Amino acid sequence: MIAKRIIPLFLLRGDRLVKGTRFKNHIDVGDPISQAMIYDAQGADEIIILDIDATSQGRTINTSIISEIIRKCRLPIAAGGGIKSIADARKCFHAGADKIIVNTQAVLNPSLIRVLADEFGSQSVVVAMDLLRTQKGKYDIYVRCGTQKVKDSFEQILSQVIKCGAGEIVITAIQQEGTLGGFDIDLYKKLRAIIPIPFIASGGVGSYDHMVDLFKITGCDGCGVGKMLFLRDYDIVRIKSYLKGRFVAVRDA
Amino acid sequence: MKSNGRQINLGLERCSKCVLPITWETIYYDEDGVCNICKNWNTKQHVIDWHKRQGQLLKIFEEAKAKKLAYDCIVPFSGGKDSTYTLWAIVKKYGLKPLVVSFDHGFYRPITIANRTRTFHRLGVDVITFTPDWQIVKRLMVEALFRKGDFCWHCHAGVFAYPMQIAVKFGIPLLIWGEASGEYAAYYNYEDLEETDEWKFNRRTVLGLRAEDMAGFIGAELRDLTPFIYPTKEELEKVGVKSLPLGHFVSWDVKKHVEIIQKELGWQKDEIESGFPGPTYEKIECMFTGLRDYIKYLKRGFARITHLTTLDIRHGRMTREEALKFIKKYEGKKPRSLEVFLEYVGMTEEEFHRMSLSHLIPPAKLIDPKSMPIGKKLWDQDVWFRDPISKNKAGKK
Amino acid sequence: MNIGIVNYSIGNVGSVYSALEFYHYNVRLVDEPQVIKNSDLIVLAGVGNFSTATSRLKNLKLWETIDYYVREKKKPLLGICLGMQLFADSSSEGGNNPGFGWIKGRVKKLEGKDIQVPHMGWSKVEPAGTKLFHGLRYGFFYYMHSYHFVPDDPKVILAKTPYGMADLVACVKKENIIGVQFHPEKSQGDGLRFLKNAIEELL
Repeated sequence: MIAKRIIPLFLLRGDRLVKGTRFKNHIDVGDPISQAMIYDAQGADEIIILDIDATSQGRTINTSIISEIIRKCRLPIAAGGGIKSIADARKCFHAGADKIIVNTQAVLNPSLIRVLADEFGSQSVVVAMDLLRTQKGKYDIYVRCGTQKVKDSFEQILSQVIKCGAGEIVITAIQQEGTLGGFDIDLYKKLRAIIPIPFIASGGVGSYDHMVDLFKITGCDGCGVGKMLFLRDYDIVRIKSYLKGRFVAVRDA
Repeated sequence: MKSNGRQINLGLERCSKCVLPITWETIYYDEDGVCNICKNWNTKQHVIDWHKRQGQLLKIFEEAKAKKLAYDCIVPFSGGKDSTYTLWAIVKKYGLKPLVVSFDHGFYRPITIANRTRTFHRLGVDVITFTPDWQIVKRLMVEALFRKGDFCWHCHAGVFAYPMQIAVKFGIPLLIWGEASGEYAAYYNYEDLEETDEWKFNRRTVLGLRAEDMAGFIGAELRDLTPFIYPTKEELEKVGVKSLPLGHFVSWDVKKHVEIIQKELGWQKDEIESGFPGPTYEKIECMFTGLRDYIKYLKRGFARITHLTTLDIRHGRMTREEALKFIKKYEGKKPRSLEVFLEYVGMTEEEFHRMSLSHLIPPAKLIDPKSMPIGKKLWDQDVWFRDPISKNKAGKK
Repeated sequence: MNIGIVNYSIGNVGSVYSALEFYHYNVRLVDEPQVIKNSDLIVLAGVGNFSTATSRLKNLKLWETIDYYVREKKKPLLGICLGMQLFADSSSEGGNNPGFGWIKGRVKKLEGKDIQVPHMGWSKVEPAGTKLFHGLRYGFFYYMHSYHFVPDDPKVILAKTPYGMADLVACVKKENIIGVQFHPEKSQGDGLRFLKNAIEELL
């Protein structure tokens, strides 16, 4: 039995973590090493850390922060930010990341995933996509941290990266992100039907019941948690207690 | 009003046996609406070999005394019933020489201050009371209220971290705390990750925030938050620090302990804003107990009376109906101490409520503070420290 | 008492390093054959794929030394994830590549209509009466793999993990070697406890 994963989402800006709403108006939410230690001790299942300025600044995520987190923590770390080549990915693995996350370049050039998966193994290559719901209830893909719209359909890109050997998919619903208003359940239900590999939902969780609904209705393998942890009075221990009481298969914190 | 066996009382779904509401952390109900805490209540009283544990404790104390250091141990102390009993036991029952380390959060009340002084005099102990920088504490309180809806971060962090720092600085390896909180499988050792105090510090104590985070938030240097920094594993290992709760080795009988400290140390009870009327022995040390409970009420729709009556129901001292009557009568009042708090941190009531209400935990419903009756002022509120400068600035932040 | 960590990939083994240091073991990275000789216990750790791992070990001139000391000198060795898969005769990952062959069996791709590939996340490990898993709090460990080892002799299997309709091999042991498919260095408290048990068992 594989447990549903509760994954704190770290957005790195410089040497601090930040949190925004719909990818805007970010505020400081702490020191990355300190927060990693906190969530490790709380029994998080994994940590995702993304450098949100890397792509736009033409560099990759600061690997010394990854190394420091690895030194102090004993849980899986998935890292991303500006990865566009084997060399970039190698730097992250060398620093200690267990998985690399590719967003912008995976969407603009899905064949990069084939190259990375062949070199490092599918299980170490995660593709993240940010989707914005349009008025018609459809979704547009955005890259470069929500600043650039891409014309391709998300179904098309997803199918390509999965064919190219992606090991896991993380989908963020931009419309919900940072609102504490709940997951975009319809989107994840739709996606679950076309994603045969591990699939993490992210964006908008603000209460225990949002998570219960996600796992019971959509069958996602895990969820990313942001504002609810950093700017509200919740922790992984209590989240997992609640989920357990609602019969969601989580690993004890 | 019933719903699938569960009860909805006073605006919240509650256990059908006790009165704990759905916003009580980690609670869940079965088909009959009985909560998991009620169900675990009886099984929790598992058989402990207190005799064996007593033996372990005496051995630890013998080893400490044999070291012939300036102090046999550190006792972290506030002046509440638990730390007072612990200190009494260490000195009178076990005959150790402690260094008392007290973290002054800034909000000790007069009866507690008298209790502390009387305790120190009668027992005859050396005491270090550490008071952190008030300008830093003020900012920490506001930041913690903003991020977590709990202004007591400096207290949680300081009370836990500071005595450990003293242990390292003075080379005193043994610390004796009071009541054991929750499960405590074995006494402290670095062999097991989850037994280390730093793990517990990071996991539960500090509300998900460490000094490194807070320093950035309040625009201070890390060294300005020195009292709130947990010593490193290496520092603790060098001294061989061992941190133990007395309650792991001794059956914790609160009523008996209170009787002892009343008799031996003249320890006095006090009234709190959020309890039943009249003097009590729970959480009397801090001016803002009532305010903390008020924020809890705003966030979760229940407060101290719910907890106290639940315990009474479980001990057969009260019926569920009586409990609900008490909750209706005594909970949900705005505390008078709020005005002192606002003056201390330089915040308006509107800002305070905005921050607190943003931390609402669903499915609790949003409460309108304007609709709440105001509670009775505590007897000592008018003699709490007030700085004329703050008074003039009150509400003008 | 010296533990040598062999890194067969370009990945960092910092987590394994710090996990072993938690128990104050004397840990060194193996970067040349001499270190193998001077280590009391070897840990095979890293991420990547089978063919890259074998070529890397050969390029570093470590392949034969490791094989010799394990096979002939019965030096204790712990293999983690891909490290355990290297115990096999061969793996189909990245072509058909030979492993050390210490435990007869093959490494195959995870397949099945009822499972996700890769196997990614925390799964329950069910030990079969072995001391290795004593003292655990929860019994969940972190997995991330697309290939798995199927030993010919079921007697070497010390623990399994249910996954879909079948069970995956979680832990194998044969004489002086122990292998685990999961990552104890990434499995928080229980991971550390397991590592300690495994090292004490091997030494």
